[in-house]
Amino acid sequence: MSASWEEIGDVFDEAAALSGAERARFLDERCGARADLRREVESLLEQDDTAGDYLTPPHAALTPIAAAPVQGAVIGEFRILHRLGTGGMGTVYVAEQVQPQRRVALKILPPLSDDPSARRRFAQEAELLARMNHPSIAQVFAAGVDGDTPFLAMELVEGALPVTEYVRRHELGWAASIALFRHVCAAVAHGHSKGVVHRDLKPGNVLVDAHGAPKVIDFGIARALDAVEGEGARMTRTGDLVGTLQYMSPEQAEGRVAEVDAQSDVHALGLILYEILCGRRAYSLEGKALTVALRTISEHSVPRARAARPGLPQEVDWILSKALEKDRARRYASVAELDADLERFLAHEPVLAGPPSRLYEARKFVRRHRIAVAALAAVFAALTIGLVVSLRERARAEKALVETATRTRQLEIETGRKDRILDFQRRLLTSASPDAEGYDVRVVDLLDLARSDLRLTPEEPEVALELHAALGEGYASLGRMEDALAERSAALGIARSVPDLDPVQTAGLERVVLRTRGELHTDPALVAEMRALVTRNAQQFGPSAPETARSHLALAQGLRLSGSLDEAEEHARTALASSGAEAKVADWALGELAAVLVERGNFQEAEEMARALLEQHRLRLGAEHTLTLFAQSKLVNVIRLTGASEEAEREARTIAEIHARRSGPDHVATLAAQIMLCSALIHIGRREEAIGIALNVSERARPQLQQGLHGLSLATNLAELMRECGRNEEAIALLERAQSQCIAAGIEDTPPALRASTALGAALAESLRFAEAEPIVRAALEAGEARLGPENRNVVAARHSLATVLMRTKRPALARDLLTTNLAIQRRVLGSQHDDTLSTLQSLAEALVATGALGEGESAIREALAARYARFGAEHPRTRHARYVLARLLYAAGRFVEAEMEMCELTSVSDPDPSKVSYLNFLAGTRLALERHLDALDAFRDAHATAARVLPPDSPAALDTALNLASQWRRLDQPDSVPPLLEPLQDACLASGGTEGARAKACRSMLLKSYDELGRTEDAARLREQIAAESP
Amino acid sequence: MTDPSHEVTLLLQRIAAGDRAAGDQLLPIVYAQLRALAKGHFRGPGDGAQTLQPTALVHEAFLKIFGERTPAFVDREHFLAVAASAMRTILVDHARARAAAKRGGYHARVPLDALLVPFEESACDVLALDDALGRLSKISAQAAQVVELRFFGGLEQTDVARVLGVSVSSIERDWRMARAWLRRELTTDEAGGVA
Repeated sequence: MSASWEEIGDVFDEAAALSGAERARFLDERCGARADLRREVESLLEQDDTAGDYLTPPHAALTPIAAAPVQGAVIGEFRILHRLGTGGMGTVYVAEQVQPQRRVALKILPPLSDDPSARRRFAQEAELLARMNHPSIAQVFAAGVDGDTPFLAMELVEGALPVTEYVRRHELGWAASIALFRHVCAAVAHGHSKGVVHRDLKPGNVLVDAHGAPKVIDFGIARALDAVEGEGARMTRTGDLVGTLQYMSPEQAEGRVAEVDAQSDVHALGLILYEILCGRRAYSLEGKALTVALRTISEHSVPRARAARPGLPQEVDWILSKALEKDRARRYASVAELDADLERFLAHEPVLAGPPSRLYEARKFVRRHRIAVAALAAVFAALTIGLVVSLRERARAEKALVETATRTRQLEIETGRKDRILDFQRRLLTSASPDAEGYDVRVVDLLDLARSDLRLTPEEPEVALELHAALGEGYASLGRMEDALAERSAALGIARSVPDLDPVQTAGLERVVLRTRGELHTDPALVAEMRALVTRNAQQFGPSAPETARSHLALAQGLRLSGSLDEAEEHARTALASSGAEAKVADWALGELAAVLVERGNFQEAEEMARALLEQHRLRLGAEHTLTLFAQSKLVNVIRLTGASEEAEREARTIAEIHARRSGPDHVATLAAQIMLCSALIHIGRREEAIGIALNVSERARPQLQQGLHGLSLATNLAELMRECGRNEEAIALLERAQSQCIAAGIEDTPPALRASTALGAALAESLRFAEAEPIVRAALEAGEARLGPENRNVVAARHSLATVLMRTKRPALARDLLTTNLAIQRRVLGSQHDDTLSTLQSLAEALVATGALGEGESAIREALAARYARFGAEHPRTRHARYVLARLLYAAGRFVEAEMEMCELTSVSDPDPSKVSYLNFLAGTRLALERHLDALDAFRDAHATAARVLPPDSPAALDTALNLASQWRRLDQPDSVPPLLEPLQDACLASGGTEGARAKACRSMLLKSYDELGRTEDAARLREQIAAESP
Repeated sequence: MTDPSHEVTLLLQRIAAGDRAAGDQLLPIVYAQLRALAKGHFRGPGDGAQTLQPTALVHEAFLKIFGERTPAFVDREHFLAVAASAMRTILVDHARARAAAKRGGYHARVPLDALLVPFEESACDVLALDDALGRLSKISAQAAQVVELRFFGGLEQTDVARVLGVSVSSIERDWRMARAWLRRELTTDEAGGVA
């Protein structure tokens, strides 16, 4: 069997580091009887030893070797003084002209192309440029070609600053800024009147000189360049593209070149004005992937200027919006129009811009029906209807809004208001379906709007309280926890200041605030505060009151998340006992208790609990009630942990069917249930079925994925499912879409979005696209650390993900450091016995081994193993995996006897499953290392038998197991066992690929040798023919 | 029709995302650019001694297009990878043409000759190298790519690792082995037998 590049490489690598007798010895050991391998390696080593600097890559010169014009050079009638700057369009110099005596800005363009018409076209363009004559446009004095080098001589703007910089430095007020800006508009309008579109307006091209006069430069340069390049070399002005990406119009971003005209300049001017007035760019594109950046430009609406600069008059906001309209039909038709409107504004005349279409409707609406809309927006968000709501038809939308608001106002004082708001909410929704067209109003914007209005006018305390609470609800459902906390805290503040407010309500708010805080930071002090609340409630309302029970549960959750499971259980049980008549609290209590039990590994009891809950609901509410289904799905989750996968699949199927029947195939709940079903199917090995359903779900889920946080978790879960199904590419596609939606909605820093980011990174890593995975996970980690703190659960998860990527890209030292950080955090917050802590410990052990710190690695893994053993017992998959890691470590350290012992234990008693196959293979490997060939054979045979039971026969693992067994038969001189084993697998080996068909090669090679040894000449000949026929 | 500058950046982005076809589309653009640059250095038919390092030209092309500060989402290494491939093609095509011209008896010095000088100086036959690389790519596609990227593109090992998405140690090993392998192949060819 001829050696593969990888095989040769392995040996070559190690041998190259040795010399003389040592090398020879190593080769003896390593190559053994494989003469061909040894020959290859030795001949390569010989070349390597004597290579010297053969094929050394020449050192790349990093400075351009072109003879650039230097000081004193003369181009045309201009003498170069010094260089001013370089860009994608060419280099600019300060040069001297003799007649007339002056200094100019001389722009040297790229050499003319071979195309004969290039020279002529350049001349034409230059002439056009020279015709422009305006005080605020940098004049083009001359243009020409020196040899092959085209150049443009332009007005030199002395002491120039980009307009944004100028405004900042001189601290111009908005009125003065606008006046200055109007001169720029006049300049651009002049250019347009001469038929020249700038196409590249940005602050860098709008300079202001020392006297405060603005000058637009590089007007029309783009066209001159087009002329220069001609048809031949397509010069790529990507430098320009990049620089002006920030100032690109949507039609430019979408590549609709035919539509790039004067109106694109209007858009660019709008962005410049925005930046002048707000001190920041309209789009933040730094660090974004190009495709995301371009989408942001074409889809993301610009934040309102008044948000950045509160004192700005309303009309300016309107003008900006009209200049920045993505829809050209609604944008100012020309720069002159824009300028005119600015003039009117400055003269206190009414502006034409008028309010930006729908946002204005919403705004006006908020004014009139403040309370209602705030509640509306909050409920919008709470229902997670969508991140973006498009009010498609004005009349209908307005009518619905008015109607809703009027009714809602009436309902303010009535009880049961939330349910009825919900009802009208649904009505509104049917008239306002999410739609790509039309002006988009983000729910987040509505919330922000409502919030800012709330600040401006004091309301009656009760109402203000309601609003703050509702806003908090809204923000929470969008994952904007900090905003949610701010609102809820405000509500609490008000509640405390109102003398005769219902104390239960106040206590409830306190609880909610504590919980929100818990979402943001893992904080031991928080638990203490929760305890205090429980005590207070017990005193104030009685130990069995519903609110007291609720606070017990909040505390239980906090304790559970921080690892104090015993106490958590206590409190959950207390709540359960006292819940009495309040069904909701009882449910919550059972749920919490079950979660605690699961955390402790007490799966049996958790299952009993879940069953009890389910029964209760079935009896009381019926089999199809939402809460029953909810309880049922909880049961499914628990059953999966106890391993009763068949039942889990049955239950999951029932749930999915009921949801489908009740809410329709496209409802979020149905989709989620079907995902759960797929997961259960995979667990019992029915992968094909699962994949089929999953793909179907993926199709139907498409519209849902835009629907707020539910959509986001749906996308994340679906992606995980795809990964489990081996459909990694689909998972990646899903998560990438989800990510860009998060960005468009402005929630990319929230915990659910970070989870999705981390999942995306993991999926990319799975596809071995480490180069892409790494920045994503890093970004998620950084964002998480900044917003949520380094100890937050999601941040810890992201850190772990990054460590995984680092491990797989062979940077174990860095992975080790990250894991060490995580371990310290988890030990402190969760305790040394917590399952997550142990997982980290285990991964850390692997990293330590990879960095060669075998001793440390061993202690770590032994610690993890002992803890797992104590908690879960020997049979639990996690304990087994820990043992496996230990065995591998021992093997790596050459302690084969110990490794073999561990593997024996590992494989002695357990049900057959795919991991057992790997373990048995490895056990055989340890025995081979100890030269116990017969025992190794036993292990290989066991592995093969197990594989036959649990793996599909053509899966890579099963094939490798068979090949290992065949190899061992051959080693023991029993070729007769090989053909019956391998013959049926030939096709599968061929199909499986492997590294350049390694499996097929190995299979055939072993068959051939066996045939030869057994004297089966016909079979051997037939096989050789077959091989010959297949080779190219 | 899309704006050409637009197109290149998008192509680079797609390459970085693993889209092979994008590399094929970018190649002719870069190819033309390199030729134009090489032409720009040519001083005339009498220019005898001038030598031009291919890798330097590749880097110059990059600077020319993107300016001195690489913008954030332009992947320099991917550009250089495509340029390396283009450069190789240019050199091979030109060497072939020149060999044919020489056989015909006369050839005047032309711009691209300068690119071949470094090879001639180190007694390396570009055509034979290209051939051998082709054979190597059948044995290990990655090893051949490593050679192309380092030798024609002038990328450093860490950059090569990034572009190919594998570890640096894998690249180091491949480079070393490929070099030994190529040396063996090329000296065997010349000597007409096992060296």
